[in-house]
Formats: sequence, structure tokens, C-alpha cells
Amino acid sequence: MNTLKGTRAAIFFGMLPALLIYIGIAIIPIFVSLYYSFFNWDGISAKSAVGFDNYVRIFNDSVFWLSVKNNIIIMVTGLIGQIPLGLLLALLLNRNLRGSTFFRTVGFMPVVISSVMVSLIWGMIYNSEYGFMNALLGFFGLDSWQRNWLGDTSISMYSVSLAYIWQNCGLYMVIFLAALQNIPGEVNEAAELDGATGLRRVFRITIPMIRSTILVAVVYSISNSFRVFDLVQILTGGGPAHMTEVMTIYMYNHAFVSRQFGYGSAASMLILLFSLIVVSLVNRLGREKDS
Amino acid sequence: MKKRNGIKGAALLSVATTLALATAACGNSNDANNGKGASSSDSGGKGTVTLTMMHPWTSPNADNEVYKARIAAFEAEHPNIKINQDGVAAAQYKTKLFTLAAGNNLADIDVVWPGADLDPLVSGDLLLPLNDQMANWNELVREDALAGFNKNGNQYAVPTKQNFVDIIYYNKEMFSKVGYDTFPATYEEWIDAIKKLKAAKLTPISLGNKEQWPLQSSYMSTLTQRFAGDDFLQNVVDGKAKFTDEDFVKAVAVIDELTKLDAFNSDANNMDSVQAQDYFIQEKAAMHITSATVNARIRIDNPNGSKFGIALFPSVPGGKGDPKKAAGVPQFGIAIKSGLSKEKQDAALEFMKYFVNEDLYKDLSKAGIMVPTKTNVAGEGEINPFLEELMKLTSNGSTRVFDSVIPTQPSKEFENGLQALTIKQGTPQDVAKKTQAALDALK
Amino acid sequence: MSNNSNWFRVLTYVFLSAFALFNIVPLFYMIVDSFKTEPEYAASPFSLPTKLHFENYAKAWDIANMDTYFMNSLIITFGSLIITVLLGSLTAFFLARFKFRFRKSTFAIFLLGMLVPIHATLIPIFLIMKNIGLLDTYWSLILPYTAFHLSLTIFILEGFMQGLPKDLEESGVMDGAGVYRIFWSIILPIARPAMATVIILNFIYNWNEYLFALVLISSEALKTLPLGLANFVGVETASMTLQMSALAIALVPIIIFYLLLQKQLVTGMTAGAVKG
Repeated sequence: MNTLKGTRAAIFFGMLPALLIYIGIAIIPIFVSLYYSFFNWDGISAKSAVGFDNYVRIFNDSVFWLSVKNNIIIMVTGLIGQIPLGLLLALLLNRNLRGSTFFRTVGFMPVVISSVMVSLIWGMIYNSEYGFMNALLGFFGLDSWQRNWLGDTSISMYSVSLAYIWQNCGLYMVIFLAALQNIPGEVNEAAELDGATGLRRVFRITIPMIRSTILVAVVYSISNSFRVFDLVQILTGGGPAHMTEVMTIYMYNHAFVSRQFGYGSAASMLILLFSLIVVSLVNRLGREKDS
Repeated sequence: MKKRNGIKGAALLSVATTLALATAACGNSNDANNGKGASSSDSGGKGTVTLTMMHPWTSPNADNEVYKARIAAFEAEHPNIKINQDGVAAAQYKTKLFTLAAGNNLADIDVVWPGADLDPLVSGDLLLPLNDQMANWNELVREDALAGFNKNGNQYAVPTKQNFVDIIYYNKEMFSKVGYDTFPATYEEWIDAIKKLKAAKLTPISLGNKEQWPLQSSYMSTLTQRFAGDDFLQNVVDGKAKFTDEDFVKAVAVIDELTKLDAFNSDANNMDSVQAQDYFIQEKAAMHITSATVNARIRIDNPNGSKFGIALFPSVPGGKGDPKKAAGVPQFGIAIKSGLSKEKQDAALEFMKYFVNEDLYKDLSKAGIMVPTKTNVAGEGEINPFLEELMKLTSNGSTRVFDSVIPTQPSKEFENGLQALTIKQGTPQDVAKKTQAALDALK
Repeated sequence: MSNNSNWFRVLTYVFLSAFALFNIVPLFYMIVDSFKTEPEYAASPFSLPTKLHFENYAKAWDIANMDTYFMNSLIITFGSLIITVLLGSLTAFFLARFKFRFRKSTFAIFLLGMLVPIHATLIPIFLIMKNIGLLDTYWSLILPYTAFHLSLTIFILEGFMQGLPKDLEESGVMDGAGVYRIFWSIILPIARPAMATVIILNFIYNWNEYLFALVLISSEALKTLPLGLANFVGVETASMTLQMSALAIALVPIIIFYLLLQKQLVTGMTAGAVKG
């Protein structure tokens, strides 16, 4: 819309309260953290300035890079798993289906139930002695596929990812459901006249029409994957031996458990930096295609 | 026109926002008056002192009930002192304590942990030294229990509870099935029992090491003492010994040996301590090694409690430590914030004298909790036989818990190393070397 | 053709039912275990209770201090939700539907909030709240919740509003309506599904938030439900069954709220709203 006279003031005053609260409470702390990241500080005793020492030490810590790798696993599997699954659910539940309210509700349940329950349930699924997963594999005669899902370090991170996807796909279902309402009925009718049915209609008409929301979901999924904490903390605690540790847990352990607050702040700045790089890349790719 | 509409819209919006804010603010002030009213000294009458107290006694345990009742009793007897409690769930208590400390915003009365956890609070001058007041407790409380809260000759807290972290709970039936009617007395016998249990298709030990402290605290505190002697950990801190010393490596190697014997349940690293207790209670494993506090869950409150016996780690070949000793740690030290006004400080001391005294220890004992007193404060027959057995077992002196002596960072490094051993990564030597390096890095 | 779509229907149901089953199992066990005694749970966590211990719920209510905490959670959740959604939707509207200087940078700044690792801001926010004297008040939670969820709210709504047809406001402009009027009577109604989404997300995040509540609130009278829910776990001990009861109680408002809003999520608003 063209900028009308007087709207500029309306825009300014309309966004001002949001900006004030946001900058005061969310942005300033980031800079405070950045400042702390150049100190050696336990939070209580006097700070001592160490320059970039914290960053250097983090870069030299193999555990940190392990956590970066685990974050990438969560990010990629999250994107591959959550978005298509969420979209599929939304497409199925957007139609007049008997019981769709019920399915929409239970589909969203994993998002709202406490992480305590999530971890209890997935602990039960993955348990190597009496877990569902191994029992199921045994039932189909696939005994050789049975594993210690969380204990076996070659697959534990993927097991965590699966729980993560399960916990969050309802979120994307809701976002996509909302977006699908935006497609006017006429479009679908026109498509039907053109003979576009089923999958073809989904790919040729539906998906392009909710492009911008898909981009939102992708960015949201990436940002969530960099901030995942509760689920991993409660499911494996980052173990065994750092094998499922993600960057936020790495940061938390240093800042709050070992009380190296400066070092932890430096780690959190790197989390922010990495996610910023990925998100702005994705955003650029997405928006470029748009225009 | 357009502009006016815009302004009108903005006005509407701001009214709505203000309303929303006002609702919140309203509720805010109302509730604040209910709960925090006493924080302004006028609402409770003249001369009322309000103290804040932060504690981790939220879960419905026997001992937590005792503490809360004691605070209520104090308030009833001292109408001029009000205690505003801030109960914080135990798992996050230290995070909150640490953050409040960073803002120099501790509660007036705090519950603190001994040793390495106390250091930053002391070095930040956040706690009041209690030296002048110790006459109240010196006769009552054991010296070694007080020592954990003593830094540079100053006493900063008095503990209310004594815990032992290394009690072996064992399933009597399973042990007699493999030929042990009493618990093995030597390391060789113990390993033999484990092998026989394994051969009988039983899980020898249930371990829940997801949170990583169990191997460090419940296992390695005692193993270190058994192999390397009582003073080893302190010597390491003082630089008179090293983790890489042979005795310590031997102690760490026990975890390696147990792993290679498949002594632990296969999900040891994905279960928390409580789940591992349940696994043991469900009779899926023959042993569980954890703290004395759990005596209540496994034996006292459990209708099948008599199935389970208790023991300490057996003696080890060539070991330098007395096998009768258990690894003990005084818990829940009550401390007072430094820099309080005279009035508040007096009230806080008044509270402390009332709260931490013989009656508290008596009530705790009756509730099945071990206390750090010099003598048994509860009368004969007043305590549960399961607790009495535990008290007898742990009455032969104590050794210190690993992370109450060793600073946090090397302790965490050690925990990770131990966990790595349980998934067959690394060697005991590696673990010892890395732990020593983490300790050296602090200097 | 109809045979084909019948097959599709069956497949859909099979898939959805399997999915639903998978999602209901945790809830089922939560309810089942909430009625057991602690020893019963310890001995067999996945069996049915021998007797329904309804008193667990009364005990759980007391231990989690729900008398006070429940109301506080409602006040804080809705307080921040209302502010966030109001301010966020307006900001999203401007960012999505107007061209002005600093538009891109404003958007980028808001996006940043979605990437901040929340733990890193804990101590700084604690110090800020202490310095502006808001520590231990409802505001000490409402402001951070608002600040951090503005990002997500703006981000989702902006994306949604971007996708709306470009000529949507024209009728309003022709009528001579101002921007706020257009926002209120054209954009908001049409954005109902997206609004429902962000309201649900805000509700859940605020309702479940733990870390800030832990550190910023110390008065019992102001604490929120998640703090109460943590009351059941000690270091080496836990009352799992009571915790399940408490979790079940805390879940009720979320489910009610979601059920109320999910209708908005899928109301076919488009046709009607554009024409009217």
C-alpha cells in the first residue's frame, strides 16, 4: 500500500510500544551478555577482563563442536520431519473429515504436555530391555535392528531428534492450518475445473499459495532447533559423555553449573551468531524467489 | 480525515492496552497485599520484623514436613517475627541461589550446600560469619559436619541433616540365590557375587546415571577412600597428591571393570536416580547404590521393605582406607545473609537458634532422617528399626564426598569421564588425567 | 474415481488414528498413574491402578499451592498474551502491508528475538528488573514474556499478512478509512486463523514458562503454576504420582483454551470477510 499522508506517524506510534518493550527487555540483555562474554566471571566475585580468551577456549573445545554437530542434526532432521509432517496433517485435517476436531486436538497434545511426561514416555519407548521400540522390532522379527536407542552413541542423537519431531510437529500443523484458510474457495474450484486433483493440486496450487507461511515455518523450525533445551536435558541430560549435548546445554552447564558466567555468555553469543547466519541465509533464499 | 482516524485508532488501541495492563497491575497489587503485606513493617503492627527465607523443601518428604512445621512453630512463638518463605524445587535451587547471589539479592536466611558450593558465596562476602554464636551448636553438632561449612576459620552455616551417599541397598533373596547369605565383605567376593548374579541372568546393579552425579558421588567418593585413603581428595586440592596417582586410577578402574562385567542395567545412562530406585524396588536388579535418604522410599515406606538389606562398599585389596567408613555429607546448612540491619540480623539469629536445635534433630530422627549430632538425640524405640540399622551401619566414621571437596569444574569433568567409561570410551588413566587437568586449569 | 477416494479416506483414517494413538498414550499413562499410590507406581509404573486414589488430586493441589499459583498463572499468562498479541499484530500489520524506511531493519531486529538462547538473558534480565524495581512483581514476568514472544507473534503474523491479496485494503482506502481502521476492521478479521495460532502459542509458552518465574519471583503470593509443578521432585526422591495429578490439573486450562480457539483456526473466513 502506498504511504498515505499521516500514516507515517501512525506507523511510528503504532510500533513504538512494541519496540520499547522489546528493545528494553530482549535486546539490551543480549548486549549485556556480549559484554560479559569478554570477562572471566563467576557471577559473584569481581570480573576480570580476558578479551577474546573465552571465545578462543570455546573454539578449542571439542565438546563444543560436538554440540554444534548435534544442533545441526536436530536442525536438519527437524526440517525434514516436522515441516512435511505438519503440512500433511494440516492438509488432511483441513477437509471436512469426521472427527477432524478430535484429530486436530490430539495432534496438538505433544506440544502442550509437560516435558516430564514426554521424557517419561520416550524413555519407555526407547528402553532397551522392555521398551516399545525393541518389542515392536522383535514382533516383526527384526531382532537384529534392536538397539539401546539412547545409550548407543552412534544413534542416540537421532533418537532424540525423533522425540523432538514428535513433540513439535503439532505446532507446524497449527501454523499450516491457519495458512490454508487463506486460500479462497474459488481457487480450489478453479483448479478442480482444470482437472488438477490430489497431489498435483497440492504441489501446483496449495503449496505456492502458502509459500510465505512455509518460509515462516522453516525459519521458526530452525530457530527452535538452535534453542532446544528442555527435551534434551530431561531425556538424556546431554549424555552419555556429551554425545547428545546441544549448544544450549553446553552453555547452561558452563554458565550455571560450573559458574563460568563469562564463558557461558560467550557460548550463547555463538549460538546466536550461528542461528543468525543460518536463518538469514534461508530468509534470503526464500525472499529472493518471492520477488 | 485519515489522520484523525489514525489517531482515533491509536487512542482505542492504547485504551485497550492500558486496560490490559491495569488488569494485570490490579491483580498484582491485590495479591501483593495478601502475600507480601508484611514486607512493609506497618501492616503487621509495630516492631514486626519480616525475614525472607529461601529453602528447597518443597517436595512432600518426611523431612520437609518437619522443617515446615518447625518454621510454623517459630512464627507461633514469635509473633513479632514473620518468615516469608520462598520454597524452590531442589533441582533448580542452586540456579536460583546463584542468580540471586549475582544480583547481591539473597534471601535473609538461606539454605546452603557445603564445600565447593559454598566457596563463591563466601568469597563474595554474602554470608554472615556465625563464629560468636557457635556456642549454641558446638556441643550438639559433630565437628566433621560443621567443618564443611567452615571456610578460613569462619563458620557460615549449621547443617540440619546428615546424609551418606554410598549406601548399598541389596536384594537379600537374590544374593542368597547365588550363595551369599550375608553381603560380601571383600572386593573379590563382591565381584564374584556380581559374576554369579550375571550368570543367573539377574542385573547385578541398577544405576541411574543420567544426571551424572551418582557415579561421582555415590560410587567414587567411597572407592577413592577405600583405595587411596581418607585424606586423598584434600591432598589433591592442596597439591600434595594427583588424580593420576596409581591408587586413584585403581579406584576409577572399578567402574571400568563393572562396565566390562555388564554389571549395570543397559539403560543406566538414560535413567535418572529415581527411576533406578524403582528398577531396584521392582526387583529387576540385585543392588542399588545411593544415598541414605532413599532408605525411606526403598525400605521404610515400602510394604516389601524387609526384602532389602543395606551394606557399605567392601574392603579392597591393598586399600589404604578403613572399609567401615561411609561417605557422609552434612546437608541443608542454614546461613544468614551478610549486611542485614541490626534488627533483622538479631531476628535471623533468633530464628536460627530456634530452628536448628535439639528438638529439630529429634523430630527428624523420628521421621527416619539421619542428623549430624554427636549423640543419638531420639529416645530408644522412638525411631524406625530400618533407620536404626542404617545409623549403626554409618556410625563408624565418615569420609568426604567427592564434589564437596573437589571444585565444580573438575567434578563435572570427572562425571563425564566416568560416564564415558560406562559406554566403553576412554580408559581410567584418561579420566584421571583429564580431571587433574581441569583442576590445574583453575589455578 | 470414487473407489479411489474411498481408499484415500481409509488410508487417511488409518494414518490419523495411528498418529492419535501415539499422542494419547502419554496422556493416558499420566491419568492412570495419577490415581496410584507411590509404592504402587514404583513397583509397576505401567499397570492399571488397583484402586483410584482421588485424594492424590487434593494433595497435589495443596503441594503445588494451586490455590494461589493458578490465579497468578492466569493473570500473567493473559496479561502478557493480550499485550503481546495487540502490539504484535499491529506491528506485523505495518511491517507486512506498508513500505517505509527502516522496515527491513525493524523486521530484522524483531527476528533476532527468536534466536536468542533464553538462558543467556537470565542474569541480565534479573539485574534489569532489580534496577528498575520490578523484581518480584507480576511485571517482572509479563514484560519478559511479552518481549520475547513479540518476535514470534510478529514473525508469524507478518508472514501470514504478506500472503494476503495485495488489493485487500483498497476498499477501505476508498471509503477513507485510516490505517488503524483498516487494521481493525479489514485485516484483523481476515487474519483470525493466524491470530488464533499466535494466541495459542503465546498461551502455551506463558503458561509453561519456568526459568524466568523461578528466578524473578520469590514471594509465594506471586508464584506461577510451573513452579508449583516442580515441587514434587527432590534430589533423590520424587512423588511421581502426585506430580502426574498436578500435571493433569495444569493441562486442563490449556486444553480448554485450545478447544475454544481451534475453531477460529479453521473457520473459512476468507470468502465472507473479503466481501463484507
